[in-house]
Amino acid sequence: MIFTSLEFLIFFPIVVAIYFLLPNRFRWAHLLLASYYFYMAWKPVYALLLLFSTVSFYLAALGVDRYQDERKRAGIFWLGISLNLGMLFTFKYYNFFEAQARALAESRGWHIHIAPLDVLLPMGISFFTFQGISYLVDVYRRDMPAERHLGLLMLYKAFFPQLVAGPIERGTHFLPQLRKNLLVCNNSQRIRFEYERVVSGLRLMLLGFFKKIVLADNLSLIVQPVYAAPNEYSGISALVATVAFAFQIFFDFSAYTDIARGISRVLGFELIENFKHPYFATSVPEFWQRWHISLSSWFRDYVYIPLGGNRVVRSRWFLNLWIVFLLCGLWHGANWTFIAWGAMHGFYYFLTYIFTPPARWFVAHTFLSRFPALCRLLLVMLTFSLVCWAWVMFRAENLTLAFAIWINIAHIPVDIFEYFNLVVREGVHFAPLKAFGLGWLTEPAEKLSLMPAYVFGLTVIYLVISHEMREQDDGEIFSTWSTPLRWLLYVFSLTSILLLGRFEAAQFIYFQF
Amino acid sequence: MPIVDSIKCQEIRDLRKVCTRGFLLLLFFVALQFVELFILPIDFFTFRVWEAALASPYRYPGMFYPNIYVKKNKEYGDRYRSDDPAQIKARPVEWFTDSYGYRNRPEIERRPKYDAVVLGDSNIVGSSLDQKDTLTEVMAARSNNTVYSYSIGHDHISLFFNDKRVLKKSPDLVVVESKVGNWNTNDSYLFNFKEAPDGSLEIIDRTAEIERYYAPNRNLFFEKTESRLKKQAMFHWLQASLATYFSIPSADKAQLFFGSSRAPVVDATGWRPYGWIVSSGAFKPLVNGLEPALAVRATGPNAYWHTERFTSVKPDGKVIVRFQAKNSITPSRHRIYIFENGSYRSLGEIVTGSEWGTFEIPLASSPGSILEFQIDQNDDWQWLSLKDVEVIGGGYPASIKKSPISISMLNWQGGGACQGAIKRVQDCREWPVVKNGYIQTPTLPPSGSAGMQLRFEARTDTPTQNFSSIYLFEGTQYRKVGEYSFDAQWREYSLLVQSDMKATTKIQIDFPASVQKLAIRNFRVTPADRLDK
Repeated sequence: MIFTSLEFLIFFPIVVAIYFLLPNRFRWAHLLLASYYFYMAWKPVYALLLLFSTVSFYLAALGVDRYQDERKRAGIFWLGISLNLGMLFTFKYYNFFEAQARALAESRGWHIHIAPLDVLLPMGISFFTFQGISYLVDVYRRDMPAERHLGLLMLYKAFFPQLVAGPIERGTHFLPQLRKNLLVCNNSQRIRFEYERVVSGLRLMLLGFFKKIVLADNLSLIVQPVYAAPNEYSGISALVATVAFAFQIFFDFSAYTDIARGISRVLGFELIENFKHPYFATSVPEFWQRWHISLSSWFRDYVYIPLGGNRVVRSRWFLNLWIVFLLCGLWHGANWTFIAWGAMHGFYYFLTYIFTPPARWFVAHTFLSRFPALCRLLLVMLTFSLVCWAWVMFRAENLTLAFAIWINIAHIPVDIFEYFNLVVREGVHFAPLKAFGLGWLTEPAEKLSLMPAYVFGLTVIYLVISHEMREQDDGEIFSTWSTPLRWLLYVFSLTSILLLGRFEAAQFIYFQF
Repeated sequence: MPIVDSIKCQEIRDLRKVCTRGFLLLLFFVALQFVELFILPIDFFTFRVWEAALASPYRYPGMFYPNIYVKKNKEYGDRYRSDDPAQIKARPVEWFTDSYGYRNRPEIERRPKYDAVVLGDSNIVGSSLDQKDTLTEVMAARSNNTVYSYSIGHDHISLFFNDKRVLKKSPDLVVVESKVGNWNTNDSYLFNFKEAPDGSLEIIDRTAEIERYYAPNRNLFFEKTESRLKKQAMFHWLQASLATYFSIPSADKAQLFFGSSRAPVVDATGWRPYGWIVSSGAFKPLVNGLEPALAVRATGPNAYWHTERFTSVKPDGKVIVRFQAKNSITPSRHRIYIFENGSYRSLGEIVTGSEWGTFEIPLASSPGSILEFQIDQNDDWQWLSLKDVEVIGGGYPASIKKSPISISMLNWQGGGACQGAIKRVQDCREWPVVKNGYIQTPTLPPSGSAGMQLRFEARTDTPTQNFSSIYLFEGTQYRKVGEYSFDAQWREYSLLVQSDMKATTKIQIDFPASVQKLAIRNFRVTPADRLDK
């Protein structure tokens, strides 16, 4: 089920109404049933995978918790990890590696036959597998006890707001909330229908719907044609589409997180914040502290630090970073483009390490030291450019198309020079939109469309507001304003959703991961 | 227990608060809807009365709401949302519908008899027409008769012959609209009939449907409200007015390609159209491009690049036009055409990118047809570059089998004093270039029945971006037959000119700008005869 579907509009109030009407002891079962129904609305049989994953982690955690002998604990731990990574590999990566192996064999003249699997990638498999791994690792590290209530663990893994696209909740953060709120015997301590909390959750949901339906889905219309056939569009079109994609993926993914957090808040739970204004980061490392925080912190805690982190020799540190980012890329999808995207971010870390000291020296010894705001702006722009450059690889369907986009963008100065040459020397009428191949943005179907202008304007407004309120949670954008202004914003958001929304649009981007 | 009660009370209060505020928010939109449906005029949010009056999905049995009167001071046409101001035609219109939802003035129903009834579609309803300009009112005014519009669409025939209400008005004349598209190209009018066992057509029985329309217990108010609610006129009007419509440009451009884009076959060199026409465009030569090699930019509407005439030398008339093309700044589309014996047909479009691409356009023509190939260039902000244009299986529409006649380089006119040394009469002569100057051949030998082929070698002292025009003089008349961009290297140029056999002919070559010298050698003429079919 998709949050932006009509089914969800019916599903959500019913689930919430029943939730608050039920006595506390039945609520976990109600949420569990609702969560499985939510998942099964997509493809019922894949709920078995979710169940298998949950039960395997449950049993493994119990085993790890029960034994004191480290060898036994490690054996059970790795068995649990292997089972789930094996499932993830089978459904997500098998066909990719099979294709690579076949291509390699054929290039060497060997004829091997490995049958590809005809399976659909289960929605959210990477999310719920990583969530389970974090739980098992935490139990293994004795950071938390194993959860003995199977229903509660099932709910932790299947909690419908964050089931298919995160945030990747930690057992240490979410399980205590479930236990505290759903297993209390005293009915007076149950989660109550509190105006402030519920409305705050609804506000977050509204913001999420606005970001997804108005901004992300419309931006996708600008991105899609250019990335489908980059050779048919100009360099500036490729640049516009790439920047549009940077915002599309941000709005799309952060919208999902906002809606997920909003629903959870209505139900009385707090999910972790997944985004903290990532495009205001002044360096790539800072970007990763603000972007998909639940995933980056997962890799930090469960891969990077166990590898030694930065407390190793420098070469090993770089290697650790590269391993983390290659895995991060691979986590997003079984495609060389994702691996290359991860590798690029690893390279950016390396560049940051190399160039930060001389850049600091340069700033300190030039006029720039008197303009810290300007320095910050330049760094934000540089970071955003680097991130966008890598988004090309993330969005393109294959390496060839990604290179075509890059080449198109690199050709922009030549285009501009040639065009101005025509304008200045030959008196051609100045029509930059047409000249730079952007005419299709305003008249894709022989009709003037202002949609790109609206989306651009709203994006800028959002960025200005979120920059002003960068220290606060996104949902608080509404709450700090005066009542009339807030109501105006509600009406504006709903009207924009109705007028500019694309209700036939596709699902959230991160569902595929 | 009191604590629990107090909590419950607080919860109920909070729930009530959320519901009340949610309802208030919703009320804003409900109120807008109420105002639209019950307070504002029916056509307030529509650009045309047609959309306002259409009763879809209901029928009364006409297709519009019954008993409406709309006077719109400005009704826009179907192309209102188009960018082109010429398409936006606003005019005042007046609309009446009768109590059955047909476009008639209500008083017509009080007439005991209809002299004529007209059955038809929107043409007869009078979409975008004022009431007095509808066909039925014009007929009535001119004949002084009562003419009733029974126009609803393609199924009007069966409805009419089952409609006792109209039949009892004993019309003397029934007019049925028939036009291409209704009867001829689709079978929609056949929905009015069913096939009898003997193969004949009978009008289908729709009495039950008619009875439903005339049922006294129909809730017309509810139906109308539901219909208008479904239309969401305000919503669509806002979307249209704010120009929020946006669709993905067609990504499936493969269908627009005609031919293929691939590396050329090296050994299949074809005929090259050295003579060509650029219309409404500026052009410049391409340095290092295989001739013909030029870049074209539109300077006015309908700009194009056009080859000289050629024909297929194959018995089946098939040729392949092959060329390389690119745009200087951004990819764009260019329509391509073939002219066959003067009649042209579109071959589709090519999309030229910012890198060189090879295009192959296969053509089938009648054997012996005279062909010309054209590429449109509508971009005035960038150059469309073409090079290596050749026609595989093509050739001049003339037989050039005779021996070439060398033209002496002596006695050329114009161009000032010759500076080139002449060892043989056909050897090079070099002229200093002067502004607006030219050189002209002596009188050429008589041409053949299909004109003559000119061949010569030329070079300039420095590479140039400018063209030299080539003129053919026939007696006192002259016309441009081609343009060449000469290179700093010796290169051969070839041109077939259709000249008057009886006139004395000369060729004039204008000096190119921005060079100092132009040299010509080996100027030959071959009379050409018509190709035997």
